[in-house]
Amino acid sequence: MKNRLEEIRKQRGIRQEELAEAMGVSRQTISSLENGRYNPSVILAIKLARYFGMNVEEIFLYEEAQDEA
Amino acid sequence: MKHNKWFKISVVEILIGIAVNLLAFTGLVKDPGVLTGAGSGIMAVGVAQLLKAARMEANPELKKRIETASKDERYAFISMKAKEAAFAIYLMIAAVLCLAWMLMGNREAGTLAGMSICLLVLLYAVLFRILARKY
Repeated sequence: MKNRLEEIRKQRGIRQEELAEAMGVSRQTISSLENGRYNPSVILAIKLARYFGMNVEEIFLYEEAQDEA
Repeated sequence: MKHNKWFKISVVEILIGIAVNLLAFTGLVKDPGVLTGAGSGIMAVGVAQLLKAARMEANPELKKRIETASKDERYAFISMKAKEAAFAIYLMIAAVLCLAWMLMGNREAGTLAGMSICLLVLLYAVLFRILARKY
């Protein structure tokens, strides 16, 4: 699943470490999310959306054709 | 030093290890080697955890990092994937060993390997049913 996390984070001038601390996850998790290597749980996706004051769909871009394991 | 949860757990583990080792030296057991091995193993885990707990107490930054890692959903996901892979690989290795031992005439070892496969598959099926009810 693609996402705009890195773009949004950089727009707001937030470091990965700061975002990770606010979300209660490791910096590596934020890095993996941004690289698209890891898809977040619904809870983390909602927490991220709330943190940025956006809808989940504005950050995470789901396309029907990309169902993955 | 403030005694955190890991400190207490490690002290309990060390005490269990010492108790198991003492039991081995009492002469009540026929084969004390197994008990000595198990006791030393438990003690080693306890000592390692005690050192980790001491480092965590001395370094709040490290403590925070370890606590975050223990709650991190990606680490939990990776851990689950690793267990899944380990389970599948173990079944394959045990199946190959079971066949090899049976063909070589080592029926006892072959039966043990086969039984371990059956036990794991049975455990998986039981746990699947229990968890399917929960979720």
